[in-house]
Amino acid sequence: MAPKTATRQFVLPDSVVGPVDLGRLLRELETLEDTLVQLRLRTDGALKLPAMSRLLDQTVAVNKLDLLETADFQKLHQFLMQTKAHAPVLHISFGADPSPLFTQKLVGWLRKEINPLVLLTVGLQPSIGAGCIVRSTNKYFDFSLRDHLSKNRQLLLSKLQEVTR
Amino acid sequence: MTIWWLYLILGLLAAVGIAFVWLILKLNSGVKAGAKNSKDPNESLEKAVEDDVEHIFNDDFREELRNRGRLHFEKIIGENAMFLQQDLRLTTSQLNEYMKTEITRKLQDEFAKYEQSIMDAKNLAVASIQKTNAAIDEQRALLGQQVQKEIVAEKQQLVQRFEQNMTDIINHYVLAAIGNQIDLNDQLEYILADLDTNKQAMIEDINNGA
Repeated sequence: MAPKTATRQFVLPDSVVGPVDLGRLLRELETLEDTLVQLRLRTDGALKLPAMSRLLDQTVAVNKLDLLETADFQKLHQFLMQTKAHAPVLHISFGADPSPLFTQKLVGWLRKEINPLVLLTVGLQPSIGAGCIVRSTNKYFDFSLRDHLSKNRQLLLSKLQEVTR
Repeated sequence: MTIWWLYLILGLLAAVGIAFVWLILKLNSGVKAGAKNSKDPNESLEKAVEDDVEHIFNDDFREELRNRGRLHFEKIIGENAMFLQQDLRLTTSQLNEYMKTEITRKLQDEFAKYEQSIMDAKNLAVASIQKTNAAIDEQRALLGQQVQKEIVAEKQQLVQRFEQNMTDIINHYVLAAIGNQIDLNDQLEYILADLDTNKQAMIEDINNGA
């Protein structure tokens, strides 16, 4: 389900790949909120944001937010909460463990072409060889080399029959 | 038939014997009748004739006649006995021939029946053997067809099993041969092409998903 209209303006950076990253962001954001509360209590002057993770940094930068502003902070938190609750999740399995760059490219394409808030979980199935297997909420897409060979079995059989004649 | 001939010959012999006895008795009665008529005038003549006759046919002569008659009778008896013996021999030979013929015919009939029985048994045995052979041939043909069918089925099963597992075999071979050489980054273009092909289905599933 798509998030509500109020949070449509927010986007996720490609480095935030799956629900794990989203949960990490939320935990960091909650920690940051506690830190900011403590800083506001301790200091009277201008506040300075503590060091944040790369994920949160990119998220804030992409959405052009100022976390020192309580409204932005709350909107981001709400966005992340709603995204975690309602964002579509795709599960993709590969024959080998994909690199972060590869995953980010893939997530970028998915958010551009499929859904801007789609989350991705990556699995590992060495038996599929090359290609991938995509599992959405209700469907299963097999783009593996194994499936490709199975679909072209008749071609292989015809070639074998030509050779054995 | 020979028995009747024997009866007939015996009957003839008996008739001849009776006729001979009757002739002797007749002669004696004639002599006695002449003696009674001796008182006629011609009685003396007759007496003389009788005496002459008595003189001629004296006891010796009569004895001679008796002896001759006895000899003749014995001769006739002997001849008849000889004829009877010949007839008996003939009858015996005919009887033997008849018995031989009858026995031969009977034996031939029995042998023919026996031969016919043997032929029937032989035909029956041959027919039974032919039926058995036909049944064996049929069973052999049926068994051959069944074996052929099973061989074909097993062959098809092997081929089918090979075809079913061929994908896995080739996949395993490809993975073993070049699995380590395939980089995911090199596959990104193809993966994105596949995703793009099924993009609409994924969008619909996401929008309509639970």
